[in-house]
Amino acid sequence: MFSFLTSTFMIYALIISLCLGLAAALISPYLVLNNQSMIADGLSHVAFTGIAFGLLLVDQPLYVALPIVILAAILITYLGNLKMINHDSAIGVVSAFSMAVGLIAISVSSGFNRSIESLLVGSILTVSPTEVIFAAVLLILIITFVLVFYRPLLSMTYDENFAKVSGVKNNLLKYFLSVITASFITIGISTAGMLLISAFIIFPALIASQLAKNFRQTITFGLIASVLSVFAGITFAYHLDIPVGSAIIVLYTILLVFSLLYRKFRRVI
Amino acid sequence: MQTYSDKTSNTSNKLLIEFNDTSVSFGNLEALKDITLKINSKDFLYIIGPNGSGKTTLVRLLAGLIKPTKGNVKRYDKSCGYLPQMIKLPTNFPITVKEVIYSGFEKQALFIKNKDEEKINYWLEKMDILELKNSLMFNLSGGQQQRVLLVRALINNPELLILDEPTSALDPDFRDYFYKLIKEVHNSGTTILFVTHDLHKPIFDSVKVLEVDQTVKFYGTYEDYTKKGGGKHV
Repeated sequence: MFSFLTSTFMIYALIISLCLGLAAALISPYLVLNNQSMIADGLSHVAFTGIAFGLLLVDQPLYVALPIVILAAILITYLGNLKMINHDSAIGVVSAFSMAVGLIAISVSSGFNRSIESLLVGSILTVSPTEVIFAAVLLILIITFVLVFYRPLLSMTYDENFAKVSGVKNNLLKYFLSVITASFITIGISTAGMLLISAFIIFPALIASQLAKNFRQTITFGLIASVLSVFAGITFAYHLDIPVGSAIIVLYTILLVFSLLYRKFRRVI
Repeated sequence: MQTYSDKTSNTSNKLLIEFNDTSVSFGNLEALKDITLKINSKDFLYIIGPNGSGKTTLVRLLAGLIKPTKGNVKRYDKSCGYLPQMIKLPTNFPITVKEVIYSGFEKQALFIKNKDEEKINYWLEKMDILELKNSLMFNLSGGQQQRVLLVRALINNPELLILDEPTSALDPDFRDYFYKLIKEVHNSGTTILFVTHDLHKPIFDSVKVLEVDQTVKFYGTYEDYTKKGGGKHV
């Protein structure tokens, strides 16, 4: 069943998917439970533009895309903090503008249609060792971030006003979280693809919050759900010859349905 | 177990808060205008005024949640506890009573230490909700949630305690005990700012009253306030 692990490209696919799945599960509760699920979706549109420009300018598009997406994330957080428009609208404005610019760039250029298509659906089986290293470094950064700021992040996510009165630097934490999310989206887009990357962020917290009896369990169950979905998704994708990103998302969805049923059943008894 | 340290022995009635010609506007709406006043430590101050008078704006200004559009507010306390007006807490947020209270500690670790857990137990027992320690917040009633948020505001033994209409969600049975508790906290030296509509029964003889209606309408002792014929907003 695990014969696919003899191929180097499959091992790379598994490692990068696990790194991204675990990284997303760690930040997922702080975004989803704070009604910021859509930031991942919005930033994936920006990443699309960033990578499109990257493909036009250099061999390694990540070097161009990463700063563009980080800047967009900072801009979204800044606009949200201004309170003149709400956070969701800020995401919508920045992502729509980015997507528009990206499509203009594609329309005036030629010769990279194949790469652009892979951005939409992902191309996990062709990831390079450099991308695997990027994902591993990102995971280490996110683990460190969550361990160091676990309590202030929880306080800010649950009750922003109280956190501020208690001395939590809400704005600084929000910017850190945005930059980390932007890095995750940019690196992850080559794996899951633009259409699916936000699912990595949304599902872990949604699944875990149906089962968890405290916040620590929300993170733990989210990590477990991600490992299960990634491992089973890659296995099924290999044997059934279907896209890996899609298989992972289907597995996440199945886990979500089971967790919702479990919660409903637990209430009944 | 004495968890509420006595601050009366080493602190004189020093200046704790000052408003200097402070105004707050939201667009064209002037919520507070030219407020200048000083509040001393150990004061127990009722903040009253009709609906829309700027009471909550004043409290949010004091808590540092908003900034003045003119003038400034200076606070000299070492720590501040804040109980907001009954807020709508997030539903489906998997956080326990214990985790919420721990967010009020000044020093927090990744794992809750035994002595901090004992302190949490002490306060939950005092509030008669110890059995809810590991319950999810969203499963609690409004009154129970309010008690948890009160513990969170008190747990850090604050020098300044801001209570914004704290009794609005409390069960009537718990109110008398709540006032007794607040008296105990004040006696330990904590300065208390208490926004209320319920001034008919002040819990101290020496309380002060601040009546606002965009500007300061009255600031002085409760005795002087009643002599002046105050209480029309109550």
